[in-house]
Amino acid sequence: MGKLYLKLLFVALVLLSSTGCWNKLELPERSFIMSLGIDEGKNGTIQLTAQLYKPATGLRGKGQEKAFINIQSEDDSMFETVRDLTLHMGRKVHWSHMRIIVIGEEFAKKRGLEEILDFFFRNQELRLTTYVHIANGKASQYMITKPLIENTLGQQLLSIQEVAYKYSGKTANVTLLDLGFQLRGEVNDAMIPYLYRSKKISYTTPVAGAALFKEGKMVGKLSSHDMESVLMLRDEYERGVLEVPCLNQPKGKPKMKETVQVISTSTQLSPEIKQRSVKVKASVTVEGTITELKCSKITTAEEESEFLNRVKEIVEQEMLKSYDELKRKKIDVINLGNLIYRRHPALWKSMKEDWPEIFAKSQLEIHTDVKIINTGTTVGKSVLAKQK
Amino acid sequence: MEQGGSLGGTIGNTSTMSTTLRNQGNGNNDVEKKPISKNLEVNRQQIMENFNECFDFVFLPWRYGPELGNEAFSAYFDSLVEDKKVNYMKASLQDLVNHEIGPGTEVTPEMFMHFFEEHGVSGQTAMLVDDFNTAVLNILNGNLVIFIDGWDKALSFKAIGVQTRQITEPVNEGVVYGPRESSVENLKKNLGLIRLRIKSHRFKLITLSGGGESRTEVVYGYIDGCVNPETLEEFKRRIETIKDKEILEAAYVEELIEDSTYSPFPQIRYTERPDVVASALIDGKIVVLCQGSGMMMLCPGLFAELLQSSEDYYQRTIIASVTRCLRLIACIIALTLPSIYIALTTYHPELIPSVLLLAIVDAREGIPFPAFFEALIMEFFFELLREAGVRLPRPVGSAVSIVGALVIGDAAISAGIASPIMVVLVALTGIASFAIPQYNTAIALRLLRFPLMAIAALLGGFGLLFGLIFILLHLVTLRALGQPYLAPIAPLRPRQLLDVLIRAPIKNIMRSPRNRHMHMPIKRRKG
Repeated sequence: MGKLYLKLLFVALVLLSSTGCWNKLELPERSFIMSLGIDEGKNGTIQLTAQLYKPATGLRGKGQEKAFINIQSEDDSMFETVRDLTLHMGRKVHWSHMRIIVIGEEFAKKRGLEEILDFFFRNQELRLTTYVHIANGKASQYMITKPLIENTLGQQLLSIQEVAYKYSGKTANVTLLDLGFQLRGEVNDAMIPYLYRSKKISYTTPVAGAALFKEGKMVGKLSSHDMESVLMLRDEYERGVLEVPCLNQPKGKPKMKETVQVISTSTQLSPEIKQRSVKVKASVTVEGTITELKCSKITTAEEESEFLNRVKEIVEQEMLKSYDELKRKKIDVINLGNLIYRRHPALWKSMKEDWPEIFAKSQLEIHTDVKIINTGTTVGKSVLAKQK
Repeated sequence: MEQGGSLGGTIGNTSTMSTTLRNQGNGNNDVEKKPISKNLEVNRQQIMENFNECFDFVFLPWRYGPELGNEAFSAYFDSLVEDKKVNYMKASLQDLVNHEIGPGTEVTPEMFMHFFEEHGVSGQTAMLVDDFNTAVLNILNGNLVIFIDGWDKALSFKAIGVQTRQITEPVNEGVVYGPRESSVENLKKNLGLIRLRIKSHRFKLITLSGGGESRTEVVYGYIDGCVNPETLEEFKRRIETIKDKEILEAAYVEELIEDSTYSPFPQIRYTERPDVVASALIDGKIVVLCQGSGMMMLCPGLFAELLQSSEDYYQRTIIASVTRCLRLIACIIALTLPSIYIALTTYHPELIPSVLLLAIVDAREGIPFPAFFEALIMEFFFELLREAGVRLPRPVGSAVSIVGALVIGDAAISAGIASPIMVVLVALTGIASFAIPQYNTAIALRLLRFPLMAIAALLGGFGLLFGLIFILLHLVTLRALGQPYLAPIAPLRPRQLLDVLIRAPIKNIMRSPRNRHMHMPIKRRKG
């Protein structure tokens, strides 16, 4: 027995020591990419701007120093350009903690996504849950923006993205994986959150609305307002605000709007196909709480149902408006084509070719169900309104 | 009565001698019998030969009978016996003679012998010895032995009076609730503490003694009916081996009876709490006590039991269950935390949450050593401090801990040798290992931490997994007195799981005798 163990131990030692420690690198030998900006460089090259985390060394602490450094490289292919980053760094670039990929609008319009995405899908270090943004202007411009609270801009953009999607509903949640699904679906129209710079009281980089893609190239934009309805139609809407205009607006004064915070929505689309014309029935359930009341009064059941009707109307109006916008652009980002493909694969075959046209002529019919579960207080009208 | 028989003559008599008194308190060693000579002078010579140059040996010849014509001598160790008892013995002997024979009558040797042979010895502290070697052993055990001229027997009075420590609170196994009695270095006191808790005639205690010069008295006990007969048989076979070994402490016995000496895991549980011993006995364990040893051994010790504390049964069930889970987590932390850190930072940084990773990156930047060496150095420091803290005299100990805390905690970071995060890990590992109730289990886990760290540094997460599987394989194959070490988890005995990770309400786990089924023989598949 003892000899057998010795032999096994020997074999194990040989086998284990002959296999690789190929990716063994101490943390100080690595450099972590926080975000990556992709633009078009000179002479049609790919320009990458990588934001790398700069560790605060030892006891000196972070101080006022920036916690990141930016490195730019240009070359003809993605991987070559990525490896060029190492020329500047002296550390191996590690991808797994990349928070965000920002693609310049120009690049997205001119070159499209297919050229660059393949690298990301093959890279084994990279997470497919990395978010993708399309930036107004050049992506590299965003990399040098000073983050507000977070250490790096990458982290800042990530938190903006996550919070904006979750609480405002004005931007989509698109990771590399989602993008892959969108581009590889039956309808390869895609949308990616749109990033822009804003200078109000300080420089900020909000994410709102979306860039629309057809065949991997950017063809247009969707406003943040339409985004909410599109998300609702996609059944991806989590939380947000519905503005309900007051009835009997006093003339000459600014318009008054009451607000409802949406807590949850659920949407079911059911397409009906009749001779290559599509009619979509959407049943939407919205649950919300009242967050502002200015002119309505909800004290009786009738008043409540009247208020609910107004909310319902607004929801439907907005949806129809956004849907018309999509129809006008002939971009189906509400997954309608994919839905038809799943439900009626045979029919889809005949429709696939002309889908943009069919979509442009399709009709939307909405059934909304609105529930108010909380008014925030026990007063069923504007809190400060005078007693009547 | 043969007067003044030669030594040679008495040897021939050996086979005809009958042992009237059994179990003369000297264990069951098969020492060759050597009769006591009827000639007092022969005995005297032999005794003096045996105890030559023993300063504390007292040889006291005296005379009695008509005109004090009869000789006798008593022999004992001054350092072992209590003066009061010696005096008492003399007085009672005198009294006895007076009462039985009548005052004024002179005592003759014949009367003396007749009396003791017919009546035996009254009082549990005295007995008749008919073997010279036994007599010598008795003297060594703190008895006072009286040889009388013309008698081939000797009177042995138990007069031992050595000061022992008082029963105090347990030092190593403190509890908040529960009894606060702790075993001491005195076998009899310890046995008393246990007997007090188990009032059953089925609680058997068997004595035997080690060999060598020390001839330490070892007692093992079990409850007949609770103990698994197979285990008991195996135990008895193994405990026989102590007879020719020097036994100075219970731990010496452990090495002789355990299954796997080279395993880091203890297969025997130590305790200084009699209440733990009592409950273990009812659970079917065998207890081993050693004269002069304050620790009581419980065997077989299974892994699950090594993670339990007596207080689990004194606390409320939910609290006890949560505490047990906490201990298991502590076990895992003590075993794997540094190696997980090494594997993750050198091979799999993608597995660390981003924000945490950046914090680690910050901490690690500028540290000259690879993660493995950093961890090794810090763990080494910690073990060094722990060892120094245990061995040093108490007043110096606090100085060590202060300096140690400075060295490990602050100076190492300032000097750039270690990162703060490593200090956190080392401290956490140390604390986790101290949360394991059994000291020797904690040591085993702390020891295994080092090979795991090495293999994690060599092969990353794969290596770590490899190491853990290796440990698991070892645990699964390990036996404690023939019992599977991981029982009742492997082999799985679902009903017993009520008292492993959780401590179910006592009304659910207690049977009479408690958990007897735990030690029923395992059914093995044939083939």
